[in-house]
Amino acid sequence: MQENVTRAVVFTLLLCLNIRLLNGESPPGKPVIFKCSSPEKETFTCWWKPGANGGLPTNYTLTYYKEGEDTIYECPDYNTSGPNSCYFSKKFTSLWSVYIIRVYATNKMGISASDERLVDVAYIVEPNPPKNVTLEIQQPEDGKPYLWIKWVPPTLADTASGWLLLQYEVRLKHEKAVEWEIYFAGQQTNFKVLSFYPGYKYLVHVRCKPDHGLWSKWSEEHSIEIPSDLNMNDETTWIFVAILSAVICLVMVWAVAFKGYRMMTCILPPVPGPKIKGFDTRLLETGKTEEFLTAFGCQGFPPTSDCEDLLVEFLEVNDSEDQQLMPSFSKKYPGQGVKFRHPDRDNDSGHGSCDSPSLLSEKCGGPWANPRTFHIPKVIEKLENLEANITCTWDPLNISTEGKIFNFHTNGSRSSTWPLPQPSQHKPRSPYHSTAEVCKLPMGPKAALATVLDKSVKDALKFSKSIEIGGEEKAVKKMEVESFPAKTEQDTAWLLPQEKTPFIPEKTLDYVEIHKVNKDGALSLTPKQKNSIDQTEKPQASEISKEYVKVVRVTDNNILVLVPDPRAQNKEAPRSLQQNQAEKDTSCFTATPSNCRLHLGGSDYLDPASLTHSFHGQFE
Amino acid sequence: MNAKARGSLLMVLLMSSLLLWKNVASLSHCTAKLAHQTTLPRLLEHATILSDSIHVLTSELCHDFTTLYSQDTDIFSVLRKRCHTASITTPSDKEEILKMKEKDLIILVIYLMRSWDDPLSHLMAQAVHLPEVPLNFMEKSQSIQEKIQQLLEGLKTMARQLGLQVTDYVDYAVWTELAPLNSDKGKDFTDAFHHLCHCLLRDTYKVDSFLKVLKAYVSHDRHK
Repeated sequence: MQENVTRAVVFTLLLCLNIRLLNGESPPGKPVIFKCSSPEKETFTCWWKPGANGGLPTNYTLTYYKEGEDTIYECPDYNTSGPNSCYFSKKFTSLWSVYIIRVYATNKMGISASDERLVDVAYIVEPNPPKNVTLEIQQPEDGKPYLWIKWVPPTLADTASGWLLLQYEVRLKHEKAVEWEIYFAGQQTNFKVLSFYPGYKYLVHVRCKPDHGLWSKWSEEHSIEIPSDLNMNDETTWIFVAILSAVICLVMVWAVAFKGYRMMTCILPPVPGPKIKGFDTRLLETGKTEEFLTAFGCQGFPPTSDCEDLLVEFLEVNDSEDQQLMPSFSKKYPGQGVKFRHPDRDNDSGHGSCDSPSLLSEKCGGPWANPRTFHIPKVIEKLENLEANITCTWDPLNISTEGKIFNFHTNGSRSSTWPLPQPSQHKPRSPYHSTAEVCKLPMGPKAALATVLDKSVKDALKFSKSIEIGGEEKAVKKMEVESFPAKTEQDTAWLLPQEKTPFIPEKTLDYVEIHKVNKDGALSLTPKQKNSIDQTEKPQASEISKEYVKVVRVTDNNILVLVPDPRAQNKEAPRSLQQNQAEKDTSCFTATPSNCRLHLGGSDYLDPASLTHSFHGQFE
Repeated sequence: MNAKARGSLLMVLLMSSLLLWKNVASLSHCTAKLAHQTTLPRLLEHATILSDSIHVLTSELCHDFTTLYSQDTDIFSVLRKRCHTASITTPSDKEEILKMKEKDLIILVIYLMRSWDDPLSHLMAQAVHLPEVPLNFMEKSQSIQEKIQQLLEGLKTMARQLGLQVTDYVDYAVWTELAPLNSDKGKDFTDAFHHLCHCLLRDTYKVDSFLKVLKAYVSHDRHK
């Protein structure tokens, strides 16, 4: 019986369905839930899209159930969110639990159900766009103008309680631009735009996103007209400054690169090494302090009374500007380079060019170990003694490559100077001079000097000694060795004032040849005929060989400027010596003075230059 | 001149040190409440940064995993299983959270985080058996674990500051899902992974939300 009824119902339904179909009516199509979102993480809404309605009015029903529960609920609100939507209010919203939602479409012909949609409200948060977007042009006094964009969070979002943390994004472009400039604004509700072009109309949008949610839609479009006369100079000013600096830097780099050396020497001049005249580190190392001290020219203390013997009778100074003794010192050999300039007033006065490095006395040790065989050191020694008689006080070094003045006190009250080559005329080659020494000659300087100069041809090879008078003695009486024979009454000095001595006339150089060197260390020189600088020429007369000359200085051209000794019989013009076979001997001076004997058998020429060089070589 | 400069510098140093000592002395006289209020916001700031990072990393981890194994996974079966931390009652909306006290929130967060220490270790240990390990899976899971530990440290400090005892937060949810992870069946294995991922994602989100609410509450409270 029941079966019959059921069959009848089914048949009827099928019949009706067929009739409906024949009428063109059909059940609804399958709806699709296309979106579910929550604007503030407290409520949410689902929207669906209906399917074909089948030509008949269709009802849509949304049902859901939660995970772990069996109860099926129907949508609480179909209207709030518009048609085809279901709004779940706070009461019906639970976070962190999955909703399984389904929509049914029902019409007369049938029912269609959508696919199940799984929704966890926490993951579908999509806020509304920010509101109240305002645009302003701000022009601070001490800065660039900027576009200031402000907004407020969307109405529903609860940012105050920390429930939603929103981050914002701004996009803007001017009207005619194609692409948007998008700027991330963080969690702040304002943004400053610094780069924009005056005179354009700018469009601005803002959107927001919660910390684990989705971006909102862009807000409404807001626009602002940037005034054309806006002062945007800061940037251009800085660009100008930057370009200028870059140009300047490039120029400097170029200058340095091309003229680097000169500039460097100009900016950072080379530091001159310390020079102590008369300072010989070798002596210091040997530990012979006495020798060391004597190297400074101070022999013993107090000075002996032999000074008088050592003083030459006269000191002839040739005021020839050309002939200057070169201080040919080396670092190591402080020497007692007796540098003196011989102002030669007479043509026939010999120019001794004494630009020899100092020949230390026997007491100096070092390369001058053998004073016996080497006369020059003796002379030096005598010079030292001479100076020793002068109250030798150690003065602080006055190292000066400028003209140094040898101060040679004569008679205590006067002082003679052993002039150094003028700096203006010659560049002092040797930076070293013996220590300044204040010495006073207790006796007639001339005699002493003469004595010295007797042997001083070799002295000429000595280094200049710069003795500087300190203190009140500063005012040095400069002796000028006038000529040969000089005025013994006067204080003669190898004068070379630091300034140019205008009274020293130019003198031509004459050549002399060394005839021999006597045991006293006197260098016998013969004047050399100008025409023949033949080195092998024997001296004409033995008398000539007796001629003494004094070494005045060594010129720049490595020429020993000698002055004939006043006691010499033949007054010959001083000649400059040329080096010859005596070079062998000279080389003795230079290379190994210790085994040097100044035996100039033949007429030998001394080239003080070679001496100088060799001495230089020695000392370096 | 040098001596003078040195002397003056010394004087300046002495004066400044005197002043500093004064400041320090004054600080030490602060009340306990003031000290607590000074450090709790900073701790919460740090904690929220950590919790945010933990959730982001977990999200990436799970996303990578899902992308690889989505076809194999039955979402519903994954969802139907409850997380092992479901036993911990947590608020499910804003009002409920706002009603909670600071202490309770801290305890809750500690609960949740402690419950994940064990499963995470196993997850990392068993990840090598996955048919296909997603990119940087191990690094991310390692990082998650480290950050959870750091977060727990901070939470315990906060608990002490709030006057909580260690015994107040010893509980945690025991994870008993080891068996599926050890199973040889591929589908069960990946399903277990999926389920763990899903639960971890949720719990890290909860922790992050709770802490952010707490942070806002604390900073708002002191500005009253």
